[in-house]
Amino acid sequence: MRRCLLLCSLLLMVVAGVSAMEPQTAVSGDYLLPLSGRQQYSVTIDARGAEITGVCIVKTNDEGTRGAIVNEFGIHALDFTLSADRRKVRLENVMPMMDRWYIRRILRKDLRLLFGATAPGLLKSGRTITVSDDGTVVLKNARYKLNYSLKKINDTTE
Amino acid sequence: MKRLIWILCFCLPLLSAGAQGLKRADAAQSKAMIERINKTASGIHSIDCRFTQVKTLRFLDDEMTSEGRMLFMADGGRLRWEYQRPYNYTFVLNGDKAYMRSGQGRQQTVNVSQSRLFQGIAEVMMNSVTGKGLTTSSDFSCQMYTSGDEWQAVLTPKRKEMKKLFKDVTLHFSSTKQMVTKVVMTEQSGDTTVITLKDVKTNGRVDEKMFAAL
Repeated sequence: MRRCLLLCSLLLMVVAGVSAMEPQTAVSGDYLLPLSGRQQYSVTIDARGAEITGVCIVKTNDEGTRGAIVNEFGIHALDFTLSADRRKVRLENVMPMMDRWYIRRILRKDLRLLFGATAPGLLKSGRTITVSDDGTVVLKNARYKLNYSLKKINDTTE
Repeated sequence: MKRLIWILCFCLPLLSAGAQGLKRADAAQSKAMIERINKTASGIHSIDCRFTQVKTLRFLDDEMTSEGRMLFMADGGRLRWEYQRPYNYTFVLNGDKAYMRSGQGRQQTVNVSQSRLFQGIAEVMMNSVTGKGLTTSSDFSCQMYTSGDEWQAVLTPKRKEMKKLFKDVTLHFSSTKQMVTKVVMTEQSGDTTVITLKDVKTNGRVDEKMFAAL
């Protein structure tokens, strides 16, 4: 029995050690929204018929990505961080009108799926991701009736 | 001696900057300044200008710059705010209707009179163009400052909804022309949006169609 417990704890230590050493580098593969350096996307969030438009600015380095969503007039909606492996999104400085735990939870999950998607199609929890001919990436969240559209803004004009 | 010259070189610009520093206007000064701004604004029937908007994003340690064209007609309080670079977005305010069109072609119409928040934003935009109505606003309190050949009106939101959006909005006026040259919107987080007006043409002909529904 004592030997069994010792083996178990050794095994746990090895597993924990290996997972802690797992590098947080980007997953190989082509993402629908490639991120490098500084990029700007025009963003539209359609929430049950009410539409919010704006600009999403993302800056990426080895440690991950930082982003901000502001409306065209410059009014700030939220900031976020995305881990290098694109599996974790953390929301920061969410505007007071949107700063509710249930809104944050949905936004966090949807942003993670948007930036983490590698192919169009049906995702878990009733979400679908599509790419239109002009390169616009659209995430449809059927459960909460939310649509997110992201289109890359070129340096000169949209 | 060399050291003294270096010190003087560093100190002189600082001293001149200090001389140009902000001075809070007293009640009489404020009244006189606002009267002159209102008088100039009353004589403005139309404005056609270009603008540059610089948004600072402290979280990203970055700035977002956009440019566009602004048209204003005093008759009916009409305003067209059009972003042309790097994205397209048009906002038209015509009476109690606001029309918006994004670069992706999506259109939206809002009845301004039905939204207290929208009324506040519309008021900021209209005030920002001419500076008229600085003391009559029910949404903002106003404090005037002078700084060299510039006047500043610091508008502080009174209502809860606007307080959530802005810490304050500062209108910069040319003291010689009594017209708005720059608008600085400061959010509660400290992020700022600076809109600078340029190539300003007043009282020229402006096509009324520019304020029609998009």
